[in-house]
Amino acid sequence: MKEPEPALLERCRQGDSEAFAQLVAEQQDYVYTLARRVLRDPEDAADLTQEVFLHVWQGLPLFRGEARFRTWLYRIVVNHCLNHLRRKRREEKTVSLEDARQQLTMEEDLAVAAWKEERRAWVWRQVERLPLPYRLVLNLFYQEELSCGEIAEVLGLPVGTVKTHLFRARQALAEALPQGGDDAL
Amino acid sequence: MRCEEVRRVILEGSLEGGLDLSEGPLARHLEGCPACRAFLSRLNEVDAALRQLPLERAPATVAQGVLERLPSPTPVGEPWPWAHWLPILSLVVGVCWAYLSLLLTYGPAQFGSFDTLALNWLASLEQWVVENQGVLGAISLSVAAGLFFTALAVALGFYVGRSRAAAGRP
Repeated sequence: MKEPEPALLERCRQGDSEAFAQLVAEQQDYVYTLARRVLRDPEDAADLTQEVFLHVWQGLPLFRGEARFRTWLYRIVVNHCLNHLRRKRREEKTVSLEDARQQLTMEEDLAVAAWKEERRAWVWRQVERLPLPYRLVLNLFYQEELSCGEIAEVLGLPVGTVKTHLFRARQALAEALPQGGDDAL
Repeated sequence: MRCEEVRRVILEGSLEGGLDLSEGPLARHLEGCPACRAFLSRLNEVDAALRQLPLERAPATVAQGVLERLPSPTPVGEPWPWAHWLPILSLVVGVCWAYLSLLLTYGPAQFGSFDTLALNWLASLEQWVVENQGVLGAISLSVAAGLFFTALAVALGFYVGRSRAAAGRP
């Protein structure tokens, strides 16, 4: 996601609803994608995306620009997602990473997954099945291209914890991916 | 190097972009260990796939719903004067009230003498207070303390609320 133009943000801060409509159009897919990956439900993700942007509208006059806009935005998304999960009492399947790793190895016909596209799609599907902290960190690092420091700020975690989550999630995916890709050496 | 250590180095190094496979103990281990070579290959594949995670398209109803529900924003620029000055004003009132209450209770002599009209009025008021000192003193001190701490609480609550909104916390 690109950082929005400062002029656009300023117009939004001044209450320009047309400018805000443009901001929503530019950012909604990124917000929706993160919400979709966290909540797993498309309708909940759509509702939450609306709530996030309404919060952004109210909070923009107070956004002083100390952090990047997208860091601030993702912090709002994550907080809304976590509050939503708590409200719905939707227990994240308290699947430990170890259990998730076992699930990852019991997969569909992997002979077909020899094709690069299907193996890539396999990885994407497995990301959705990881426990929430790992899913969040992977999406923010790879999809939203935030640094570990920015992710730590968004999630309110120490940088070391973020790196550990990334380490373990990638290790689980790499160990579960069946043999068949190109040899790197 | 043991395989477990090699995989740890690969995982950390590939993330931070500092993985040197050209020489050294890591390269020598990989040359002789098919399992670790395969792990590296799969890790590269995983990283490539993760970088291509698809962007989901938000439904058209999202933007429409947002714009329909937009409330009026808080005016930007100079904050409303009362919102800015209320905490300070309430604090000043609380402090003045506490001082006045102490003055009434213990008398202006404890705080020095000033030849002003206000103090003359205060002196006559003091006479009346002296006659009712016991009850008034107790009430004024407790009221002063209550107002003082209420003012502090209002000020703190106001600024904490503004900080949370600016930090993106719902």
